Amino acid sequence: MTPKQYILLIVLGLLSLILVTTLIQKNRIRIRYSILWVAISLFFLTIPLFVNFYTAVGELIGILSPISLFFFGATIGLFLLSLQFTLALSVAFHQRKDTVQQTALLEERIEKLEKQLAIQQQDGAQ
Amino acid sequence: MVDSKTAAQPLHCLVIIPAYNEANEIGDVISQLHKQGFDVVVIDDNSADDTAKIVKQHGATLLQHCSNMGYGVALQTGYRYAIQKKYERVVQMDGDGQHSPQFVKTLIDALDEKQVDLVIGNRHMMVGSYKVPRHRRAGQKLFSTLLHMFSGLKIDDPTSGFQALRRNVLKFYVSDLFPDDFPDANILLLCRRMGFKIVEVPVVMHESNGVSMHRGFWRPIFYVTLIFFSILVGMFTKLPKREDEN
Repeated sequence: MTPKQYILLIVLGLLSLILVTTLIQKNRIRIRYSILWVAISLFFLTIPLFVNFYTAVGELIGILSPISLFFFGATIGLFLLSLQFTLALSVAFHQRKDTVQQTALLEERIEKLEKQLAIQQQDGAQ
Repeated sequence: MVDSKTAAQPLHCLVIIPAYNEANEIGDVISQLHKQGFDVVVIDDNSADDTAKIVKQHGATLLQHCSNMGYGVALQTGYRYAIQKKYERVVQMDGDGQHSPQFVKTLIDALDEKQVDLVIGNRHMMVGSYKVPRHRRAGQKLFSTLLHMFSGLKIDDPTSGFQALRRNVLKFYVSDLFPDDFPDANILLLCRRMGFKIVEVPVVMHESNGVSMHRGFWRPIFYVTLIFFSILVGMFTKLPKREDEN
């Protein structure tokens, strides 16, 4: 890897770390999801420290350049992330559906009870 | 009011109408159903027009979604209401004028006369229905063939949303297995696998006055692909034990 590539990775890592930290501070991202992004940011930052390791891993699976290995790893990582978010989205949809349905049923019950109460109060007043 | 009599004993039949921006037609449909003595619940899927107001004016029970969830979720809200209110038989129909209220009784009678769990209103078996466009008829034929291939069930109009159901089917429909994003031929396959008895009866259907969800070029292709995939998945879905068999 060239020094320019090192610098680029470190800048990327720092930027994403700052972004994630800011989002956590503003309570815009859930802690459970933020851990993953912090880990990814730290991974960017530490790549230059373990270049020899990544070169060895790359040679083992037939990828000669560490930067190609990085892109290969990133593609697999993004695929797994998408899958995880699809799962989370599906669960969230089911929860939203249950909430909307329960709200509709409860609203109808409340309206009926309020009408009954009004009738009872009228009868009591008479 | 319709539900005042429910407190004492369970009612017999409820008509479920999922509605989205159907202010023009829904009032007339409710009136016709009330004239026949049916209880009516309308699930307003967060309409932008006066649907909710008109439903209330016509004295039907209104369940309002606080956000737009789609046709399947609206239907399932109706099923949940029917279960909660202990209805034994339910008819689901559209509120846009496509399904004739006169045929609700036909569907309910078929439940008892034919001793089945699910009755589907078939628009092709009776003269008087609107002419289904060729591409839609082709889609219906495709789903019909797939259903027959994978389950042995012969249904000529598998996309019909005009149906009568018994409580045992309702209990299955409120489970997580109900395909609430596109309940179509796929749910019939699951019903068949659950061992529910299904028949078709002739009904008259009119052309829908609303905007079709299958408009455009890509949407129908996407929909057919989804249902095809859903039917395949339905073949391998692990089903619960039927409660009425316990």
